[in-house]
Amino acid sequence: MTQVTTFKIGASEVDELIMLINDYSGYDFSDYSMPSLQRRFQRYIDLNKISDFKQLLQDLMNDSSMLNNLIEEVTVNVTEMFRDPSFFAAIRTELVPQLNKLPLIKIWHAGCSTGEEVYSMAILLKEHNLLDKSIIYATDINQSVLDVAKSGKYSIESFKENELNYRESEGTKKLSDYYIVLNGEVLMNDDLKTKIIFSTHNLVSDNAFNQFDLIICRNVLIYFNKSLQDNVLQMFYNSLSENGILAIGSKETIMFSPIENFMQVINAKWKIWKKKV
Amino acid sequence: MEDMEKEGVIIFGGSAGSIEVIMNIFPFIPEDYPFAIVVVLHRKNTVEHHLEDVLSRKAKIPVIEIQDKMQLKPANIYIAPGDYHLLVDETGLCTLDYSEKVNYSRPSIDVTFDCFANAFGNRCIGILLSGANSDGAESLKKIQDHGGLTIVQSPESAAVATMPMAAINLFNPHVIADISEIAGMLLEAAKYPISHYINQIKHGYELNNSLPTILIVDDLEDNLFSLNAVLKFEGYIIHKANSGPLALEMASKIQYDCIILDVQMPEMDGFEVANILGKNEFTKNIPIIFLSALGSDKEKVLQGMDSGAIDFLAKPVDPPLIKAKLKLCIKLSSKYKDSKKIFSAIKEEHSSLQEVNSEFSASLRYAQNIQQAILPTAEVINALFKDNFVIFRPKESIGGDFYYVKEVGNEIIFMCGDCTGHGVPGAMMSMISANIIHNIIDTKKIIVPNLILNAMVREFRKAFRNEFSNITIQDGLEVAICTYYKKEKKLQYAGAGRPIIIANQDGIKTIKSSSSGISGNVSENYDFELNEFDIEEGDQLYLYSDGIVDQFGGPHNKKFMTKRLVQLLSSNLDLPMSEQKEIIDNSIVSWKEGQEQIDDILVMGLKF
Repeated sequence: MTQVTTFKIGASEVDELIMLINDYSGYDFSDYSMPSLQRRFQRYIDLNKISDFKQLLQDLMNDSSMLNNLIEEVTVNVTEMFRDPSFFAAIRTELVPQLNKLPLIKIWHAGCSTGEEVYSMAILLKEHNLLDKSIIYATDINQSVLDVAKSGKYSIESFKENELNYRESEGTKKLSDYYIVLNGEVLMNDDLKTKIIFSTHNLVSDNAFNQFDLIICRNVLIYFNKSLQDNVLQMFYNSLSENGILAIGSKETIMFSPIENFMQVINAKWKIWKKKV
Repeated sequence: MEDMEKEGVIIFGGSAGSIEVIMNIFPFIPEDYPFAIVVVLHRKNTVEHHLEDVLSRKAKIPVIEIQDKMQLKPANIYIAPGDYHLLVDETGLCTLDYSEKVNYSRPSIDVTFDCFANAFGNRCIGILLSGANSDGAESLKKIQDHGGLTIVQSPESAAVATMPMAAINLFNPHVIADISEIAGMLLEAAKYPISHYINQIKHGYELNNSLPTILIVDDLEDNLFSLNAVLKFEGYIIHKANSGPLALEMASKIQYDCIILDVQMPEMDGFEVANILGKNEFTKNIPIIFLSALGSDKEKVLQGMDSGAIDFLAKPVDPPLIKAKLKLCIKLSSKYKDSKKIFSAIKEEHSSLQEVNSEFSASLRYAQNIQQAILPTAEVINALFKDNFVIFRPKESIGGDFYYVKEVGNEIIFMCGDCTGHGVPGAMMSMISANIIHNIIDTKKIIVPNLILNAMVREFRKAFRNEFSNITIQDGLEVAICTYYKKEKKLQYAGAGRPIIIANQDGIKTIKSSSSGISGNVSENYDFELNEFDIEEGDQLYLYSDGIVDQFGGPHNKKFMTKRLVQLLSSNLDLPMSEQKEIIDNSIVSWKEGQEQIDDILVMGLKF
């Protein structure tokens, strides 16, 4: 096996790329977590077998589709349906009774990526007869993952795992009740989609745009540095309605952030908080 | 944060069988331990592990599962959470990452080690433990490349040796250590600033690299321990294997100076191990000392010797005896290594000779081009003699024979020469001769053959007997020179050691030349005999060097001789020159069949 020696990127090259992307696309990655950004850039360089960094900079400046590919590589997040089944089980048992009381449920999935978690949520709501009175806003910075999310089409390979997750999340039916298989592809049922609004939203630069009863943003903040995390958490706080709930990833925290004292814990393990009255 | 910039980090990577290792090490880590300890283990994400709880009960210092943006601090043990990659920056700030699995793993040891190598450089101690895949080997090497210290759990102490072996196969880690040795190193490291300790070990590692390396093989841990204790201060690097197959695997990667081999082992006994080692080119010369309770049994001793052992010692080990035997083995091994060095030096020499040779061949080919450029082309000869042939077969790619054909006014001057020697010296002489002949004929306008010969003698004396040198070159050339006066239809011939053959209506005959050749030793006034002939149309003339007549071959391995050449020519005089050429060519080939060509061969035939 011959291995191509690709360029090994260091801190100063990461800075150069951040500046170039900002100048040529307006996306600002300067408050992303450096180690993960470095890893993302390195992955792009390895995948494309790039050995000359100067040439890469030239190409990115001259070729906007290449620049877009790089941005997509940096912003794409891996996800699956009913990831962390116990988290969804906790929503069923701990949040559903409260949501049930609301006349209209407004939910924001921030950084929804290819949409698996959004559909998981829609299924859960449907099973508890809440979907009809819900509006789910699903946003991401990356247009191409949003296109996948909107289409509701997924590769069938991941669905064995998804089905297991669904059952562990205490789902009452079968996951396959919510999709059909067409030409070897999974296609999510249309009735799930009617209540979902997909839209681009950049957590770095865009502001709060509504009031929500539930904000879900899991494994997105890990890619930001502490100060950007604080800003985004503040925006989430500002977007929460009275008694609004915030759920973040299980290895993330709002401790040491400006909103720490204004939130109370609902579920410590799954990092579910509620706005203090 | 400042602490982390001054201080270092100890990072463990492991998979199957590694939890037991850290469970045995962590109880020894004191409360005031100056470094942060990070643990990256492969674990299944479907099972809820409570590794932190289990370890907390064992360790004296806090055991914490890492959360995003957690700051590493000394005197804490950090566990990378399942299903995330762990990244870090140079201040010790952790970032979690939920990107693709690497080698089917998340967390991936390679991802995290890689990151720590970049962020901490020479303030990082990487330790790779038991495991069933090769994750971590590449990145442990990277820690070493970035100035950090690398420790690999010794394969014999690992529950699953795949992971440690992958690192050992890939590079030469600083330390290979078992569990208690690793614990000892971690405590020792706490006494110094981390980079001092790392430099100290690395210094030892560099010294160690010249130490003899021995492998001790025994299935019983106690035996390995006691043998190690006996030998460890004797100036060896000691590797251990607790089974035959592991010993074979290790010996296939590391050139040991001696292997001490237990005989009775389950799975594969010592004799079998020795047999296999003896069949492998890489391991067959490693001295082996068998160590066994069977030592007293004569038959067993002989069986051991048969399978390539140098010695056979009885258990229990007698320390002075085994130390002495080991010294002897190391001497043997170093002799073998020296001879291998000499062998590879010879091989190198040989390949550089081949290089010289191929350079030389290239320059010879070029010289051949030059030599051929000074010979008259077939077109020149064809323009002067409608029917002719030239057979020119130097013994090597270049040679000392040459021929010359030139029209000067109404006269045609032609000659065949044979410089002494062949190959490069012959070619050099022929080049000098060509230059001299050009000078005589074109510049001095001398055209009468015997006068040309006299002029050549003068020029040779000038060239090779100058007053500043008392060296006299005996070498020179033999040549037959003819001048054909077209109007008068007259041919003049004078020879210096080379006859000619002429065929006309009177028959075919050899015209003898003067006996002297041309060299710096010949008198300037030597009287070369001049012969004159009237030429009729159809008369044929042959000039040749001695290469053809002196060639050995034929049924009795004799010289070809002039007589045979004349006979050959006389029976084919009616044929066109091109066919005569073919016949001569063929008879030379069949005459010398199987024999080496002894000299350059030149034959020129002309029909008037």
